[in-house]
Amino acid sequence: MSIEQQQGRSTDKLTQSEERFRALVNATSDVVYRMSPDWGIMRQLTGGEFLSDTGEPIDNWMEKYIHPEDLDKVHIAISEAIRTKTIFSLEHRVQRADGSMGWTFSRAVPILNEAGEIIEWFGAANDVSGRKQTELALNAAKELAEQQKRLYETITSGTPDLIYVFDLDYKFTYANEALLTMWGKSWENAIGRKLLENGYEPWHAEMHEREIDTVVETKKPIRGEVSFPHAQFGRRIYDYIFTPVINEQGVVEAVAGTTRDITEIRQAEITLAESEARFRNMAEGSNIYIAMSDETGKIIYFNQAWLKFTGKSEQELLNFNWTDLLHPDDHEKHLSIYRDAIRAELPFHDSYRLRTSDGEYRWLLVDGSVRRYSDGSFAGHIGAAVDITGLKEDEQRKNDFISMVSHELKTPLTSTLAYIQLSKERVSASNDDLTHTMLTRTEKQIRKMTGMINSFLNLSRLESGKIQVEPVEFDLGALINEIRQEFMATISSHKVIFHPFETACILGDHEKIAQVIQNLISNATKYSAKNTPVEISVINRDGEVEISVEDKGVGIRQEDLTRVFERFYRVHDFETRNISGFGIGLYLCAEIIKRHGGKIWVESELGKGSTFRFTLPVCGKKSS
Amino acid sequence: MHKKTLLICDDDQDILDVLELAFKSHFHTICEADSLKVMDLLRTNRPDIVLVDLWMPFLSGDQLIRSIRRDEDLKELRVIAISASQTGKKVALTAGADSFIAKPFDLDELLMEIRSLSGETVA
Repeated sequence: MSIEQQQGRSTDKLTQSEERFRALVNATSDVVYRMSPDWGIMRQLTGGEFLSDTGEPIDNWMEKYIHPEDLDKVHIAISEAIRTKTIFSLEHRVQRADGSMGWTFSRAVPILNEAGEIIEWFGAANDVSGRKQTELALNAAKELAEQQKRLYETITSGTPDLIYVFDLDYKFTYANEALLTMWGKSWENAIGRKLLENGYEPWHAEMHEREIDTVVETKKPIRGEVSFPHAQFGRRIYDYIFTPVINEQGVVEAVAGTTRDITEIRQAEITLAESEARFRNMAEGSNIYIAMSDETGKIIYFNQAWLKFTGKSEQELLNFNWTDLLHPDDHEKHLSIYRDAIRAELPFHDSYRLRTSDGEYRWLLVDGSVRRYSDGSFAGHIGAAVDITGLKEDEQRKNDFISMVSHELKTPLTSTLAYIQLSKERVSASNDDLTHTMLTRTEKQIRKMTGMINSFLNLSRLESGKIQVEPVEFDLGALINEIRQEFMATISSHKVIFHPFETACILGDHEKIAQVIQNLISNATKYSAKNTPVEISVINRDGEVEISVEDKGVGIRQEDLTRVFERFYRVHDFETRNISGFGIGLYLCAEIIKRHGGKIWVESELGKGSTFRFTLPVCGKKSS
Repeated sequence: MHKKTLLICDDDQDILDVLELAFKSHFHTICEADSLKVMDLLRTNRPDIVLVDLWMPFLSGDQLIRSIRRDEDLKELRVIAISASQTGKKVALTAGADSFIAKPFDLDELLMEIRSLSGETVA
C-alpha cells in the first residue's frame, strides 16, 4: 500500500469517523454548529426545527441567533473558552426558527492542531425552552410564595392578637411574635413543644387538647373564652378561635388558632353594665316619672313610677300610645311642644294632665332633656315628670282666695264710694267747696284702690286660666279714639300725643287690648316727669300693626328690659322707689298680647326714656 | 209725677242703705237683704225694675234672675245685676239680666241705667 493510499485511507477513516461523530451528535442534539477559532465566523449551523440553518459561513451569527440581552453573557463565555482552550458551555436565550424566543443549552469543544492551536470550534446545542419555562414559572411561584410568606409574617408579627398552629400531636408548629412575647420565649424554645411545655397550666393545656381533638373530628372551628395570668399584666381574659386546616384529601392536617385579649373590652362592658344598673336602680326607685324616647319620638323606656301611674306593664305601655292618656284640653298643646322639640333637637318643658289607672287626671310637670349618641348625634329625649297636682290645687286655692278677698274688699268700697258721692251732692248744694274737694280726693283714692284690687283679680283669673281672650273683629282707630278721649279728660300732667295713623281691622278682645294701651300710657305718666310728652303711635304693616307708647322718663336698665314683663317684678332704684304698684301691670299686658298671638317688648335708655311696643295680627291673619 | 217702684236685693246692708238713700227721691224703693224673700216681694209689689246683687248666700243673684225669667207673670220684668265679681257680667247676662253694672259703681251711672231700663224719661 502506497503512502498516498495509506494517507487516503487514513483521511477516509478520519472523515468516516467525523461523519459518525456528527451523526451521533446530530442524533442526540437539536443543533450542531462549527465556528472559526475566534468565534468571529460561524462556518455552519444545522438547526433542525429549533433554529434556522446556516449553510455558508456568516459573520453576523450573533444578531441572527442570540437574544440581545444575552449578548454580553455569550461574549464573556466565549472569551473565557478561547483563553483557556476549554469547552464553551452556556445556557442562554436564542431567536428560534419561528422568530419567537427560546432557551438553549449550548456546548462547544475546541479542535486543536498538533501545535495546540485552535483550528475550529465544534458545537452542539439543545432546545431547553420547555424546561426553562417550567423553571421560570416555578421560580415565579416560589417568589410569590415567599412574598406571601413575608406578608403573612408581617401581619402575624405586627398584630397584638396571638396566632399559632398546632399539629395533630398538640405541638406548636407556628407561633407569632405576640405569642412568643407573651410566653417570654424564643422560636427555638417554643416551636415543636406542647402547651404544657410552653408553660400552660395542666387544666388549660388539657382543655385546648380536647378542643383540638374536637376540631379534628368535626372539621369545624371552635370558639371560647378563657382567663389566665399573663407574665406581666396579671390575669387577662382571652377570646380564641381554633380553625381546622384541611388538606386536599379533606383531612385535618393542623389546627390554626387566633386569640385576642379582650380584658379591656370585658372590663368596659362590666363597667357599662354596672353604670347602667346603677342608673336603672335610680330611675326605678324614683318617684319621678322617667321615660326615654328614641330620635323619632317613640318611647323606648318607662320606669316603675310610670307603670304604677298607668297600671300597665312596661311591655303594655311600650305598645300603647301613651298620649291617649293626655287630657283632651292638653293633648294638642303637648304634642305640638313635643314634636317641635324633636324636630329642633332641643329640650322641652311642659305641664299637662294625664289619666291614671283610676281614671283620675293628675297634673304632671315634665322636663325633657336631649339624649345624644356617642358621635354627638341626636338620640331622643329623657323625660322626667313630677306630679304637681298638689301644687296646682294649692294654686287654685290661692287664686280662689284672692278672688274671694278681692270681692270682699270691693263690697265695702262700693258703699263707701256711694256714700261719698251722695255726700258730694249734698255739699254741692251747701257751697262747701273745701268739703267737696276733700270728698273728691277721697273718691279718687277709692277708685285707685278699686283699680289695684282689679289688677289682683285679673292676675288670679289669668293664672287659673279664666281670662279668655274673646276675639271679635273691631276697628283699632275707634278703640284708640276712645282711649284718647278718656286720657285727654283725665290727664293734665303730661302732654299725651296721639299720632295720626291709618286704621286697621283687628281680630282680638277689644276690652283687653284697651286695658293694655291704658296700662302702658298710665305707666308712661307714672315714670316720667310732669309736662313731658307721652306719644302713642300706630304703624300698620303687612299682616300686623305695631302700637307704641313712648315717654321721656327715667328709662330702664338693660338688665331689667326683659324682666319688667315678669310677674311681681319691680325695678328697684332711688328714682322709682316711691312709685306705687305691684309689678302686675306689664305681666298682664304681656299675657294678654301673647294670647292674641302678638309680641310685646321695650326699648329704653336710662335717663332718656322708654318705648313700649306691641304687635297684633290684623283681620284675616291667624291669631293664636 | 208717679214714682216708679225699684226693688233692690243685696245681702250687704250698707249697700242697701246707701242705695235707698240715693234713690228714694227718684223711686219708690223696696230693699231686701234676703234673696229667698224676693220672689214673694215681686209678686206682691210688682216693681217696675229690680236691682240684684249676684254673690249672695242661699240663693244667688243669677239663680234669682233665672227664677224671674221662668215665672209666667214676672218674666218681662227689667232686671239689672250688680256685682264685685269680674266674671259677673257674663254670669248675669247668661242668667237673663237686662244689664250689668260692676261694683264699685258710680251712682250717677247706675241711676241713668235704672232710669233708661225702667222707661223713665230723664227730667
